Amino acid sequence: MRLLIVEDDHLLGDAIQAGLTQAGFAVDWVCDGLAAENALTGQLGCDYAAMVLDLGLPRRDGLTVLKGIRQRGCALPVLILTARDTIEDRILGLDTGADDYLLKPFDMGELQARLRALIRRTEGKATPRLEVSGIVLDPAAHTVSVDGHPIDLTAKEFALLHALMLNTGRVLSRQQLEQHLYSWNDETGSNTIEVYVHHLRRKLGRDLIRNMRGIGYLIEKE
Amino acid sequence: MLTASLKVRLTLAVSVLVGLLWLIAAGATWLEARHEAEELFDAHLIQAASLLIAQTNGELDDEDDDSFEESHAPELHRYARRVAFQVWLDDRLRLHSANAPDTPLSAKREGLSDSVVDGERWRVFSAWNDRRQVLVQVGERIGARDHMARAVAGGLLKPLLIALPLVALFIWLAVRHGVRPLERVAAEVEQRSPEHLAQLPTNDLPSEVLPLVERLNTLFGRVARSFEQERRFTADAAHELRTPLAGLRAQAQVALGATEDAARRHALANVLQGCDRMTHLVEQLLLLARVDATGPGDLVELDFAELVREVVGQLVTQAINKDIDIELAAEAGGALRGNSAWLSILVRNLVDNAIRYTPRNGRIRVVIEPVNAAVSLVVEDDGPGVTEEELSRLGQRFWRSQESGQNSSAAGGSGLGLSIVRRIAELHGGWVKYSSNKASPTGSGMRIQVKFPKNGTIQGNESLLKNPDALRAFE
Repeated sequence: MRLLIVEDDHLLGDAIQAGLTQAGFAVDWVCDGLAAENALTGQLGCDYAAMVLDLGLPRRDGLTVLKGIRQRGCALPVLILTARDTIEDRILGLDTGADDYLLKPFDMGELQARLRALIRRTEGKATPRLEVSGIVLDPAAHTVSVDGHPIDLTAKEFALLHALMLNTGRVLSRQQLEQHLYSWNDETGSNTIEVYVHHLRRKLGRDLIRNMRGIGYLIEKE
Repeated sequence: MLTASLKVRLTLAVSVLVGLLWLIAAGATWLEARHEAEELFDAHLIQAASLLIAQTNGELDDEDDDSFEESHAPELHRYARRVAFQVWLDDRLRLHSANAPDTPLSAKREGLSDSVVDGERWRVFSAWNDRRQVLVQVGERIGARDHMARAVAGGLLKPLLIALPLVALFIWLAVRHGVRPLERVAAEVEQRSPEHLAQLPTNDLPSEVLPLVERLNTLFGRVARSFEQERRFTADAAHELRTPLAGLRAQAQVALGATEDAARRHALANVLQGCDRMTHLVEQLLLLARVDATGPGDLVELDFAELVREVVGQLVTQAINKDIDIELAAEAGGALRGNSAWLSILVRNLVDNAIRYTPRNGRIRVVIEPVNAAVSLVVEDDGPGVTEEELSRLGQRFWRSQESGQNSSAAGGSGLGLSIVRRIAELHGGWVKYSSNKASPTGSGMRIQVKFPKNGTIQGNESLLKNPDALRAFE
């Protein structure tokens, strides 16, 4: 899950990036409204799973950024994270196109949970837990179990499995998977996805992830 | 509170004035009427006397002296009682009116005279015939004349009794109509809540009330602006306090959740940095509140150059840590009246700001020099500076340069430093000027100049700030 964070406060942005990375998200962080627009109109575009948007931003106000992406018809889930606490501000934020509104200071756990809920709803799923062939993935608890036995996964392995289980029956290209896994700061090797798939197969069984040669990987629906 | 009401005051004043004028008019009329009546009645007396003389002349010629008996003239009308006459022939009363006494009406036997007969005052005209044989005296009760004059004056006074209340009522209504715009304004102001500061309507106002309403509107405007400023400050302060707090909390949670030691140490270091930033921000906020609340305090003659040297000395280590070269140029003549504590804070804020926003290996120049009747302090750096548009926003509370973006919050600026500088300069009657330091080696940078009047025109600073001409005099 790749997220875009727009926050001009250095300390807070750094913390959000670290906190969400801990929760298994790939996080890109920009510090002003213009950079946010560039990130959203760039190659990655609407590939972000969600955006955390501050309102009081340099160069371009958060609401202007939000209005812009909604006018382009982008359905990206947006969570506004701001210190503006009046009812009017919240109503304006939600009516401009935000999906959620969280006030500073906030709890990191709550921010993570709200983002998971937003992403889950966009994927059209009501239950937070994903289940395929006896493998249960709980995004909130960050746990995976096979037939009731908990399995230890690294953050990247978990993120890869999460992406594939969210899109069961659909082939995801290596590039798409990389976007789910890595933020701009991460160094990506040429065959890292293959390495993680290999690890997952070893831990969860050979047949779970199918490799469609030259196209990508998928987990089939039951 | 009678006198406090314009309506009562005006009505009373005008009514009393009208009543007095009317009374004076009635009195004058009475005097005039008396005078005219006197002339008229005297003329009648004279005419009546001459008629009697003409009459008696004929009769006395015709008749025998002895047969002429004293006789009464008949009383023809009750008004005749007011008039009496006597005809004397050789000092014998020969003919008289019924109400005339036997004695002469007047002792004076020629012309007009006043006399008293039987306790009554009479106006008498006496005249002789040509041969001075017959004396005719015609008299009239003076009371009759008075009565007439009084009747004329009374005729004027009676309408006054009826008219005065009417006049007073009319004046009352007119005055009430006249002050209605005032009452309308009063009612409009009274029903306002303290937050309702819209302008009062100025149409249909009499020219006497218009200035009052216009001043009220000016006041409303000023109060509304200060409310708005207060509101914006509160909103900004909320934002400026919540964001670093959110950062602190988030960093602490990251540290708690971190599995790797390096990540935890990084987060904890950030927590410390955030605490320092919060401390700086809160200190600046308190400082600003204190500068806003207190006056300049005690002013003493001080050596400004020495004060700047001391403050810069305290900040030198900070500059050395960033490999920044600080140069201090202080000419003689930097003496001025001021509060050394506040001035130290002003200098520290300016130099600290310069160190924060100047990149490594930069240069900062601090110059103190006397300019006419003022002392000028210039702090310039060769850092990134700000855009022309941003120059105008410098000194606004919580405002930080956006071009330096992430750089500024990383620099740990509170956005309050220049507000504090400006306020302290104002307390000393001075002012602050921001410009770009285009002459620097890098071609960019900030140049901030503060000018203080040497004698420390304290308290007059408000008017000085609102009067640009006064400012120009300093330059």
